Amino acid sequence: MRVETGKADPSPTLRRENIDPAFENLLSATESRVRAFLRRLADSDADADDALQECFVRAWRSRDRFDARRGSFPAWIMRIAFHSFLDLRDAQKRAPRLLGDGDVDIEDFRESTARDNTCIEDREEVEARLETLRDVERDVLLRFHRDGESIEEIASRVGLPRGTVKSHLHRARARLRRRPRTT
Amino acid sequence: MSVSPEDRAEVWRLVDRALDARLDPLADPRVRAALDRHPELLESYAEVHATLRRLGDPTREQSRTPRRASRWPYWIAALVAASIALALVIPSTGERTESDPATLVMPTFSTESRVRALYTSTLERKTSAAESDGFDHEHRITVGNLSQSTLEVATRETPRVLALQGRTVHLGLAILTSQVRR
Repeated sequence: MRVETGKADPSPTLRRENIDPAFENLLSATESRVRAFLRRLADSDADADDALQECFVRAWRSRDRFDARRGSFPAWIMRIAFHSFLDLRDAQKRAPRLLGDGDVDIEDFRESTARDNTCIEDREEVEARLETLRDVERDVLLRFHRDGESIEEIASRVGLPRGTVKSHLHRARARLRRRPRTT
Repeated sequence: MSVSPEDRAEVWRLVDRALDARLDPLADPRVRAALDRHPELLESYAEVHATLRRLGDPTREQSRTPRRASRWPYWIAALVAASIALALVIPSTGERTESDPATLVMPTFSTESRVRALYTSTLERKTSAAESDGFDHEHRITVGNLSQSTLEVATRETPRVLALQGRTVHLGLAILTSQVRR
């Protein structure tokens, strides 16, 4: 298990020799999946890794509460990861806005840095995912989310009823959610 | 423990409603609670979240102006301007790529995520087309041109970008350089 990865040990008791091997196996088996999940949610890999570490610490502390009869371990750990991410994100939003050069503040910097961290492979992956959409779905999705057109504007431009445009938009999102998983 | 079709539909209905309203779904307590109740759906949510973020800020209504800027008449007009500008820009490209990395310039430029999203997608599309031609000089012209044409739009709406216009031409070239060297 890599609970200590990349940072100082967050807790003196969270050392390899203190971790139950069975629990460690469970964590190890889901680590890459949880990391991938957090990296999709977070604005940067650094934020994702912070959330991952927090997630593992919380999981270890609440390991006695895991009950396989109430749900799978992946679902249990994902829920912890989700809350770790939300807490981290909320804490960042509460942080004071720091001014840098000109009128660039820390939120701007964080957002843009996250975008800079978007590697070419990520972008190619997104393009590949968009390719899985039907033409009309992709067109509507891009118009709405990339170009900022309203539903009414899209309906007018593509010559479809408003409700149909909305249906295409929702179907496009649904297809993106159903992306085949490789990990 | 599987999620019932009704619960699943309810979760995505809440997410879609937030996205349709250009709100951050995770800022909505109902969405948070729904995903918390059904952690099996979290990874699916993350998939769409990541894709929409790559397209631009999904919560922000954007101007239609950038779309018009990517059409060919602007591209050709900017090509002429960029060809002239490149004569001044290219000689310093190598130095800037090393001493002024994109990560130092781009954060400032991309304070407007909409501009950044447009810039990146257009840049990639045109760079890819240029690469398929296998003509190095064309790459430079294309990228320089596009950054310029994008900025022409951006400067109308984003005063901060205006001040950075000159630097961003360099940035486009720096990105191209890294892609060609890859």
